[in-house]
Formats: sequence, structure tokens, C-alpha cells
Amino acid sequence: MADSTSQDAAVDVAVAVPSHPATAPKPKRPNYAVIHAAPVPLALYHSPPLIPHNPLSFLHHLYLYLFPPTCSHETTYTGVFSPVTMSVEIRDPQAVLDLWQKGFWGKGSLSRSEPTWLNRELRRLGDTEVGATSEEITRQRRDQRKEMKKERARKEKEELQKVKAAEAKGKHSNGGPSNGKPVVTDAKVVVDLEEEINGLKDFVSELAQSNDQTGLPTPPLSASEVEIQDLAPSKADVPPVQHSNPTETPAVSPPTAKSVDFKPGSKIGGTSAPKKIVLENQEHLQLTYPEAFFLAYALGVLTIHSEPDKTPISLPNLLRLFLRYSTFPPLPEPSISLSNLNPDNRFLINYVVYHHFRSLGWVVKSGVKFSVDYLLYKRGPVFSHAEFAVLVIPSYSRWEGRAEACREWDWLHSITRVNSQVKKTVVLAYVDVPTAEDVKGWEKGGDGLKDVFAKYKIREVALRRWIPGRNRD
Amino acid sequence: METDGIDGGLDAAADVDLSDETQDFRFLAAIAKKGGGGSIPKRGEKDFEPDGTNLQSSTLEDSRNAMFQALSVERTHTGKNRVTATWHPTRRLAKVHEQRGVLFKSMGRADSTGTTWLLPEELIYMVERGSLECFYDSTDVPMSVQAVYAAALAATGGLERYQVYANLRRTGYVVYRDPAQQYDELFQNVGYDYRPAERGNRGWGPQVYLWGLGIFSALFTSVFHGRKGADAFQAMVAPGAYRNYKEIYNRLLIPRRTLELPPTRRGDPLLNITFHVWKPRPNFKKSSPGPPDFYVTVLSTRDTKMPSLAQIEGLFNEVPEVASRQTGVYQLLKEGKKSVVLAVVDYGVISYMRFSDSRFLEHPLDVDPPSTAKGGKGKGRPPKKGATGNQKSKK
Repeated sequence: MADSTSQDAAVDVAVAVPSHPATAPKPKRPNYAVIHAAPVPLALYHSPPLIPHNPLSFLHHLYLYLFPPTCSHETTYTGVFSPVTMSVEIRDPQAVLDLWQKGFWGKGSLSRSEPTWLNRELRRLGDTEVGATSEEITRQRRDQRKEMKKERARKEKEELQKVKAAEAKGKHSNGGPSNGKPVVTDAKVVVDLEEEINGLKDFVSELAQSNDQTGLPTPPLSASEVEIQDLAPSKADVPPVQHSNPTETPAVSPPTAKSVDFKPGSKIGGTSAPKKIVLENQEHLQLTYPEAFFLAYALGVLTIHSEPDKTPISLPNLLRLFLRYSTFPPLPEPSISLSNLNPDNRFLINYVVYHHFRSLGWVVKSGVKFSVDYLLYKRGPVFSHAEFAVLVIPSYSRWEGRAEACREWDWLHSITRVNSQVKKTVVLAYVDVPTAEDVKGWEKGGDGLKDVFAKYKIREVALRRWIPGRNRD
Repeated sequence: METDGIDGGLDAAADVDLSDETQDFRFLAAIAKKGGGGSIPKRGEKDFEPDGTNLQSSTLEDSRNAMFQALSVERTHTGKNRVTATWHPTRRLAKVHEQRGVLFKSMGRADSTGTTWLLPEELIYMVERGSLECFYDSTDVPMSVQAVYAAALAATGGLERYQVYANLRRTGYVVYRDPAQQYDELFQNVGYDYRPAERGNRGWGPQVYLWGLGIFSALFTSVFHGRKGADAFQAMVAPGAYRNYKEIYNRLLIPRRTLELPPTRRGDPLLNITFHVWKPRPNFKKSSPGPPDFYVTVLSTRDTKMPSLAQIEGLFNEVPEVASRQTGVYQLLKEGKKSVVLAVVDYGVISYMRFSDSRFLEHPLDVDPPSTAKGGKGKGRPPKKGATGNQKSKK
């Protein structure tokens, strides 16, 4: 109990600090604008401050301005190519953290998106120092919604019973079912309904407030516990640890004590954990092929090793690998030739689109959840929902005698329907694929691979349902 | 469901859009578990699930009666408003004997002698809604609705086209064929600009960007990041000193040279604009309607698939650019400078989709954090998703 009060006090302080009295009370979130300030894992060069009255400093500054030190690629990362999972794995904790924070690359192998497995596991074992993970927040929200729906259904049922009772009474007094009455009851029911709606609103704000009281770090409740739990307010005075592990009460106090030692320096790695809870992070970051190739080729900050012999793969070999493993089952080895490059390769087409949107500042993530190829986030998934869902559509207008493989309308309809449910705009990214002749000799001169990518043309077409009744003004 | 906008009765029910209702299918899981126990799943506030109260059944009865009453109203034609026309099969137009009524404000066209002619779709539409009586050629034989359909449907360009035409008309829009689709020269000259001023393959837009590169950084570029040997796999962002992220992103841009799309159509008929559509407005003038609000292409799911790149490009080449009033990046990208509405007809069910020419290249995002990003709260954060949509649906 002492723990819970101290925690409450801490939360109170945290709540008191921000100066937004007008905005709705919300649990404190990390400052994502600072954490994710860098859109790519490269370092910027900041010139030293100029002191104008010192001519020497001025000269030095001029020198630095003209010949700045090379500092953009100070840290590079290594990954392992995994043909089985069709991804590139990053295992170094610092690299995982960096790649997620600076540009949202990849996804955790045991998480929905951000690699949070270790944090979730620590919290499950009773560590109160670790902040709530996004999965928990989502779950909490869903539980609240479920609760609210249950409550709504209950009230509806009550209302129905009230009406039924009133009608039964009327039947007794009138001596039979009457059709003349309902107009009167109608008005009454409307009033009742309004009352009920107000009640619901109160209930929702109550929920929000109770959430605020506890602060965010509340472990998720299992479904059964939610049912036992009557309403949210009671959550406030129960220590969160007991929720997650009600049976192991003796084990509750040691973890909290331990977590204090546990805190410094080991949020992800867990390497310096002193005593019993030594959690090895079993999660790694998975990069898709386009992500890995973008980091390796375009940015030049990633070296990729092959699994068995741990030798770095050169970029030409990496391209060869990705071309080969772009489909399942992989293409036969002899069919891949860099000098005789086949531009109609799924990896190349996907990469060109990925690169296109990345280079325009979008954070591009896989859209497999919404049956599209990519999702486009402005700044990143922690800031806002994805606004655009991109479908990659190869087009072969330059290929002699090759018919366009157009999809059926129902395919498009189902995808637009799914995406309108989640309020995303579907964008058709038509990629006009060059022919093998178009790209021949690319490796000999000019800009090399960049020239190849430049030969693909991309045209974006945004789709919206157009409703006649909505567009008349 | 659909009412005639010209008559003024706009049905609120037509505004209900199912796509705005967020559906939750978790309730189906319980049924699957029980092995289809036969009970109706309960969810949401719906009025049509029988709850056994008199209140509900009487409300239902009332609304049913109201509907029957509305349908059973006797429709009369006064002699004063009787409009007649003659179908001319050779010219594939209907000659109006004397035009009366409000419908002619946006339908038909008068020739130099003052005679008004109706297009076949206009004829079917008017006969179908009981506004006009039609006779066949010079025989003075009155035509039934079926006869009008039989005689004039082929000239409308097919059932799908007429279905879309009638749907848009009933919703209140003014609809004309694209002048290129008109077979009679009377309807070919229209009093407005509808073709883009400048034709040709300009769809790819300016491709090479040098934004933000000052003269000094350009100098650095040449000095420090110049070609270091012809390495085909040279990283696009070479190690160096970058003062902001925009410099890095400039290097990541792939300059796409404007390549000529070969005008190969390969026997595949290109899509065309079918209809020009105007929003309903009281002062609409047939003689000078102004530029259309929408360009609609009618497609049938029976014989078409999703449009190819060449087809889309052909469509965008047929419509003029429209300056957007929007300023937000999301809105600009969603609306595009050009847009075409595709009416996809699936055996009578019409689904309209607006294809917009969004040009992501012309709207790169800011990659550098705003200089005063210390607080970071609410700064530069895009507006809440779907805010505009919600406003609309709550109207």
C-alpha cells in the first residue's frame, strides 16, 4: 500500500507540472518530438557558435564552414540476413533503439510494432520502473470501451423493461392492448432516452477521470478480472502489482526493491541487472528488404551479414540476395544477374516505391494489416495515424506485347472498404516498369543503381468514395 | 430513397452513408463458438430488432402506413402541364412539341428554328418519371415506358450509362454528355471550356528538385560529395557534414527524367469521360453552364477491370486542372489538381470513386523538426484524423 501512495504522489506531481489547464486531462506521454527528432539515423553537423569580435574565431569558423568535419556516419549498424523470415534482423540493443527512434525502421519480432517485449515482460514480473507500453495502453482503452458497451447494453435493457412494465400496467387499466396510446409514451421515452444518454456521457468522463487518477502505469487487466472489477474508481486505491499477480503476494515486494538497482543504464539491454531478475532480451528488430536496402544503400549506415559465416555481404551481393528472395519460393540462383538485370522484380518495384515516399519525408511502414502494400505516416506512428494506404501497381506500358495485368473491381472495392473503415485514403502507386534494354549497362557508368531506379516512373492516384448526396453543397 | 432534386424534395435518407458507420464484427465470434445457436446477435442501438413492446410495433406500423400513403397518392397530369414529344429514330433525338415545366431548364436543346430536342437519356428519364408523353416517329402512336426504353436505350450508350445518368439526375445534378460523345452536332457545341488548355504528356510534373540548396551548400556538394570513381553502388548519402536533414533528403531524391510514354494503346480502348456534371444551382443556364464541377466516366464491371496507367493518364489528360482551395498537405494530396469520378456499375449497383491526380513529389514533407520544438506538444502535429469527415456526418 505504501508503494501505491508514493506512486500516486509521483503521479500528482507529474500531472501538476504541465501547464495545460484547458485541455482534457490525459495521462502524461513521453515527449515524442524530442525522442524522435531525427528522421534518419544520421548525425547532423552543428557549427560552433560564432564570436564576431574575435577575428581568429571568425577565421576558424569560416574554415569549419568551408571544410566541415565528416560526422554524419559516425555510428553504423549491423544486421543479419534471415532468408527464413524474409527479413533482416538487428540484434544489438543500441542499434534496435536507434533505428526505432530515428525513423521508425522495422518492427519488433515479438511486438506489434515498436520492440517492447522486454518492457512488457519486466512489467509482467512486477517492475514498476518501466513505463506502460503502447500495447498496454491500447488494451486498456479496449477494456474501457468494452466496459462502456456493457454498461450501455445494461441501460438499454433496463429501459426496455421499464417500457414493458408501463405497457403491462396500461393493459391492466385499459383491459386490452391499445394502439391509441403510444404517442404519449413516445414523448416520455424520448425524455428517458435523453437522460440515459447524459448518464452515459457521465460514465465515459468518469472512466477518463479514474484513468487519470491512477496515472498510466497500470498493468492490463485480464478479461476475467475486468468482469470481477465492478467499476473503474476502485482501481485507484489498489496497487497495480496485485492486479497482475494476485497469488504471489510474497513476491511483490522484492521486485520493486530490485527495480531501483535495475534502473540505471539498462532499459533495453538488461546487461547490468545485478541480482535475480536477469532478463535476456529475446526480441530483435526485423527489417523488411526495402527498409534494409534503404539503410544499406541509400543511407549507407547498415552492414548486413549472412547467418552462417558472419561475413559482411557486399552491396551487389545483397541486391542479388534480395532479388532472389523477393518471392516465395526464392527464384533459382542462376536466374539472377546484375549485368542483365530484370527490372520486373518484385523487390525492385517495391523498393522504388518505398524509396520514393521515404525520400519525400514520409515514414513508410508495411500495410499488410490493411491489405495494402505500404502505410504512410507523417513524422511517424507515434505522432498520428497513417493517412495514406499505398497499393503498388506495376504497369508495363514500355514492354512490347505485354498485356497489363489489371486487377478486378471487387478487389479494389474490398480494399477501399477496409481502408475507409479506418479512415485512410487509398493511393494507387502506379509504377511504370522499364524494360531490360532500358536499364542495360547501368553498372558501367553514370549514377549506377540510382540510374536504374530513375527509370521507374511512379504516379500516385488517390482514391475516395464519391457520394452524390454529399457533393451537392 | 432517391428523390428529384429539381422538385425540391431532398431525402435525408440518401445522405446516410454506410461507410461512416464503424463496424465491429467481434460479435460474430460468439455465434461461431456456439455453433450457430440460432440467436440473433445483439449490438448497438438498432430500432428494427423486435423487442416485444407495443411502442416499437406501433412506431413501425406508423412508418409503414406513412410509406403506403405516400405511394398511394394519386398522381395526376393537368392538361396545362402536359408535355409531348416525338421520337425520331433516324436522328436518335426526340422533338419536343411545346416545352413546359422546370425540367427544361437543364435538359434539351433548342435548334435555330426554336424547336427543342431531347437526348435519348433525357427522353427516357422524363418518360419514366411521368413528365412527358412520347409518340413514335410520325405515326402518332403513343409509346409506353418499355417502348421508350426499347427505342432509345441503345442511343444512350448502354444501360449502365443511363443508370448513372438517371441516378445523378435524381440526386439533383445537371448532367450532360461529354461533347465528344455527342453524335448530333446540335449538342456538340457547348458554351464552356472543358478541355485542358495544354495537352500532352505533362503528367509527371517537374521531376528534378533542387529546393533548399543554397549556393554554398551547392559548392560543398561539388567539393565534398563529388563523384568518387564510378561505383555503381555508391551510397546516395555519402559521409559528410550535413547541417540539416533536408540536405540529406535532397540527396535521397531520385531524379526521374520525364520519359515519353509510348502512345501504344494495344487495341485496348482508352477510357473516356462520359458525363460532365454540375452541382444543382438555381441559376443554372443551359446556354452558359460554366465549367463542370465533376467529370464522370461510366464503367461496367462486366467488361472492365481496374484502369491501367495509360488509361488513367488518358483520363487525366482530358480534364482541366482545378486550383484547390485547400491548404493542408493531406487535403492537397487527396484532391489533386485533377480528378475524375469513375462510376463503376455492377449489374445496376453504382459505386462512385473519385480518382485524383495526387502528386506527392510536389508536396514533400518537412523533415527538420520545427526550430522551437522544445515543448513539442501539439507543435506541428497534423489535425486529428478524419475531423472533416466527422463534421460532415454529424450535420
